[in-house]
Amino acid sequence: MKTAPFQMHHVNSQKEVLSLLDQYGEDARILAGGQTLLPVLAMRIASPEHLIDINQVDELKYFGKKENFLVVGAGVRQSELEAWSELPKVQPLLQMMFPWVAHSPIRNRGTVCGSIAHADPSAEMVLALCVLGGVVVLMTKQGSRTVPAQEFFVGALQTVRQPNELITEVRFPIFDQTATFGFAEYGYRHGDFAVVAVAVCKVKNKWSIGFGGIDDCVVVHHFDASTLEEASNKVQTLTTSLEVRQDPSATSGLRRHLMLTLGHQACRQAIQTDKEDKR
Amino acid sequence: MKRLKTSSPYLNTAYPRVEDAALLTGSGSYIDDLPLPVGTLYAAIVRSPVAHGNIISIDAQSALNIEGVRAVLTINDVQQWSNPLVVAVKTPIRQWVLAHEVVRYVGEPLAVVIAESRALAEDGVEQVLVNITPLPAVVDVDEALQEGVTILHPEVGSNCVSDRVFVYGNPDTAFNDACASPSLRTVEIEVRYPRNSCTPIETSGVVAQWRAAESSYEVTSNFMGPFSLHVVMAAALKVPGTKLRHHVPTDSGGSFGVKQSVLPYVIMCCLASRKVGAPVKFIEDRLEHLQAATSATARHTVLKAVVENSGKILALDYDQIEDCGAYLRAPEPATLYRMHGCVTGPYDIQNLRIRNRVVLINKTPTGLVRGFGGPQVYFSLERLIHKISRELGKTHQEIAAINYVKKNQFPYRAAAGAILDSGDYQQALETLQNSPEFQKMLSRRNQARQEGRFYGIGISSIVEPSVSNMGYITTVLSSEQRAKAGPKNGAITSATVSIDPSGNIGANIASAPAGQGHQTVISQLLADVFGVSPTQIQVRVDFDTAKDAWSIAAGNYSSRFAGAVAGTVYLAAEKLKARISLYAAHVLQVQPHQLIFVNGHIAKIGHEDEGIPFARICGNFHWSPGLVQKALGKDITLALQETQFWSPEVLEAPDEKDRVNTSTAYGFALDACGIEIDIETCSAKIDQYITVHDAGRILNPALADGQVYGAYSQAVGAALFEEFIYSSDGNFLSGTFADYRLPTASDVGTPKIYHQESPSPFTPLGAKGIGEGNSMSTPVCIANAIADALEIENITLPATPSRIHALLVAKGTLPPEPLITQVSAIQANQDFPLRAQGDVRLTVSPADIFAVLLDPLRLKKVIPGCESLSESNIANGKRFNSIAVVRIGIVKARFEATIDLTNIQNPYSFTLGGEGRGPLGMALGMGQVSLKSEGDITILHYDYQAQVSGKLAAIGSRLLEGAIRLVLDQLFKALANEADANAKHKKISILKKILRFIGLYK
Repeated sequence: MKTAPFQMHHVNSQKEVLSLLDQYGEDARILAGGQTLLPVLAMRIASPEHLIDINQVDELKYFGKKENFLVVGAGVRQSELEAWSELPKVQPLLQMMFPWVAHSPIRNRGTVCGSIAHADPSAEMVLALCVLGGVVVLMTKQGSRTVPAQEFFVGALQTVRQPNELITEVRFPIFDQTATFGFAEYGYRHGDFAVVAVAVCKVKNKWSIGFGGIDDCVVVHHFDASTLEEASNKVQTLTTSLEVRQDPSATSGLRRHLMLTLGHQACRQAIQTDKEDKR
Repeated sequence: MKRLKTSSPYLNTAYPRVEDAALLTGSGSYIDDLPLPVGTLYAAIVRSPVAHGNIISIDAQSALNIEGVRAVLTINDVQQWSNPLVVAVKTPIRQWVLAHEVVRYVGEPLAVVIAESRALAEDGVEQVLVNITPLPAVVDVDEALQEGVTILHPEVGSNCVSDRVFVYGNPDTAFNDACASPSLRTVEIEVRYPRNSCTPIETSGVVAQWRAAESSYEVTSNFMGPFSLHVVMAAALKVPGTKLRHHVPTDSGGSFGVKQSVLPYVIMCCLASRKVGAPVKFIEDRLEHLQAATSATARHTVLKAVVENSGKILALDYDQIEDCGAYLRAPEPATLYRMHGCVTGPYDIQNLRIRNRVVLINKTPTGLVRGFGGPQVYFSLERLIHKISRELGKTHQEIAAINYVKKNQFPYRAAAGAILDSGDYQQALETLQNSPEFQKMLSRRNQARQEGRFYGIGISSIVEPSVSNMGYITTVLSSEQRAKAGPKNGAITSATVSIDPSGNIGANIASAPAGQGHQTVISQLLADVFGVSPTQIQVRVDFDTAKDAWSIAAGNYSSRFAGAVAGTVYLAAEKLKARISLYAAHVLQVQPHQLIFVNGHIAKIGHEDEGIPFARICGNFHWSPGLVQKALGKDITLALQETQFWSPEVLEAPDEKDRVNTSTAYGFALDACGIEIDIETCSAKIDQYITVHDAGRILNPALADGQVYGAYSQAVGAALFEEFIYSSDGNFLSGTFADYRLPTASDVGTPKIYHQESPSPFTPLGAKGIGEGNSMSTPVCIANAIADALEIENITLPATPSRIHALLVAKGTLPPEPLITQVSAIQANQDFPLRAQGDVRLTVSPADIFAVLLDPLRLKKVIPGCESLSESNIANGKRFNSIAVVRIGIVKARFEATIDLTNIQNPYSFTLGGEGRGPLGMALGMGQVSLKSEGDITILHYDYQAQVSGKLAAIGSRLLEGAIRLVLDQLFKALANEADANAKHKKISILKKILRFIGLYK
């Protein structure tokens, strides 16, 4: 559990990060919160030659409303966003999710962008970005590009990020007051990887539902429904038609069952929030 | 036997732990905190990535080229300097601390790299090239016993290394009667207990030093005993026991039996030190610990009973098949035999038949884990009682009560030889049934059932053995073999108590505690004996085999502290007290029996205010021995130090009828559990838990409760969360705490504890063990509650949501899973448990793809990170050898790869096999690839079976299949890109643009 030797780069600006990434590419890793990277290094399932520590890059430490997005820079800890007083109004789905993201000591270090970069199909941040239809901003020394969430994740732990690219920012679309949300998750213990996580976004009778933990990537589906019953029926159809993985931690049968029960819970939450808002 | 007066002011109170000040301020002395000898080097172990295979070669040269790597210990060194490990069962197996020619479990040590830091040693481990040809793995005891199966140790001729049948009373008559009589019935249950462990927070640690000048080894380790294994270690190291000096530090970060598995590391580090001529330190990491330290045994049991209609059980028939892992490691097969004398539990059943088979399979060798044999035995016995109660339409408690050994029967000789010392099981049952918690449980079940919810109540009652008979393991031998070897028995325990010139009291005990509070209890005890404050007592628990008093039973296991160690301290203290009393009586001009030791003084009873200071009387023994001799004569012993050895008289060697009193004392635990099954998540939620204990005299109620909470929590883990999972090819899949799931405080809840005290007549203080009861009673109690909730008998532990979901589907409560998961066309093969199928849409023709496949130069461009490629012909196709670098997200792994391209049906299909070896483990894959044109595009369909072993499997089991899909996807897309690059039509397709964009096209 000791890392292989690596060279540490403490940098103070985004420009330096991009320049190092350009220079080392595949052989470099970004150290942000380190909540996944450090164990991975300690277990030596990755041994990059260069670590670029972005913890002192102040220009990446920003978040807030920008146009119709909640933008979150690469230097933002999950706990900082969680503690933001406007979060419940701006991005209620994230607020619902944060208590489920590992444990608070991990959120104190872990960053939002780091979770997106790691692309674990069970991760809540990944699920939120997909269901809300968010965007990832990638930058190189040469320029930047934005990639929609649904195109960003291509497999378990795999994204389209190129070795010389830095995720500088993720953008979560902000919905208007007609939107309501629901979230439900099951893990064996509090803070565990989700066996199944379900997030729902409802705008009038247009629904988006995403499932985490069931496949190599988060799966998002859209449907129309005007009652809970209708929505639940749609969820039921999804649970029996989607490809669902089986692994040593859960059978596909359990996962489908959880998709149904948690899907129902999340839909009910979205509808109830809707009713409460109208009261 | 002489007893302490019950008016003692400290014992039997919840005196605060004296250990905690150091522990809570970070100043404990754990193995990893101790100062090291100058020049100490560090070890890291090269381990087998596969479950079974022939070792072709181990090449350490690249490792030795690293600056700072000093040496690599190999099997050659081990065979030169050590002997094979000794075990109780005689077999031709020669077991070394490093694998010899064959590896037999994932994580089996192959070599030890010794370097100037642990990090450098790990660098070295990555550079040791291991070439192993995999063999089929045997992962299940039933499979292991089949005809024609792979045999782990061919020299034995079978995977079964011990098969013993024991008959007590007349079980055959009872079972025959059961067939004939309508008032009798046979009830049978078949259960499998899983592999699990107790995972102490501190893993194993050793610092070892070879002293060439005197040909001796000096070791400091957190080994916990039994120190009978010191003999095994010295024999293995080819030195007399006196030349293996072993220290145990004061503090140990948890043991639970598991620290017995430090043994092979001690030998390894001693040999490593000898190899480099410097001290060597090794601290096991968590992955190594979970993967390959030790495990409780798994057991397959068929248990039958002959039962009267009243519920009275006339006979039991156990057929137990024990999974001891790849090698029998001392003291195994002790898990089977520790419970042997008391397999009838708390019940009066005199007709008994037992068949015990010990089987070796390709998993980590087993050893001591809290409860040691109890969880396995009671899982069958108490599930059987549950089944009997259901068949007879009675409650579990009614069946138990009918069969319990009665209060007036103690001491009771059980069929297989246990002498149940004391107890009042009926009283415990009354306590349970009258408790408000139990009443609440009953009403909550009624209410839940009325509302259509699944709520069940489970009961279990067990006897909890403590202070093991060191001879019980010889029960595995026939009485002839035992006669030849000479009798073994007893539980010899030692303690030293001393008083200094100022009247300060010290005690040394060889009990190697791991947080239980031994120092606290001994302080309480000695304070009571000598009438002083516990703060005046200093108890030393660090242990040195060269200077402390000890014998083979020393150590921290079999719940032996309260019964044996505290009792022996008491006996030593009483001897000293008698000596002091003689002199004090002379000084005070009274008879010794008229004295009282109180408030730091010795006084005449009734004249407590006129005593003389204890310190003064004791001081005379040191400062004025002449005064003492003058008073008591020249023959008086002047020493104010007493070393006592004690062994329980009731522990005799197994007799010629194989009866053995396996333990000194037998406590009792009776549990009830109320569980609700949450249908939404298929999880079992413990609503209420009650546990009633009788551990004889309680020495410190807070510590006793602490033991109950601890054992209960670990048992909840065993029942609902924890399991060492292996794939069908023997790969280990639970290498981190993300996959080996310990329950957290919020998952466990707080049981309601009741105590009753039936003092043991066989231990000096009347005390018995209490630390393992719930390890034994709780797993089966939870299983019984789930069985009651679901009205299903076949419960497998841990009862995870996946398993409960399957039960609910079988029961018809939940619908079966729709069969839409893709089905592989390849026949299932247990050696390749991972499956991956998929389609890749490509914009090149099948012929173009084949053009690449058949051209090594172009193929090289396709293999990720390929550095070199060589080609050879094999039957039916071609083989390519290369170095490949695989990237999956954050993971990057370098493999030496072999790729076999066979059954080439140009341009329709081919078989692609691959094998990769690297520091992260091995990967084998075999699959069929077919190509089909659909308009402009080609659909490439792959259907794969694979095996991934070693570190990757242990850490990433959740994502392995996804990773295989990803690697194949990357490979085939790269194949298409290469095909496209040289294809005649250079049109840029949309797909290619995307590929280029996302970086798969160069």
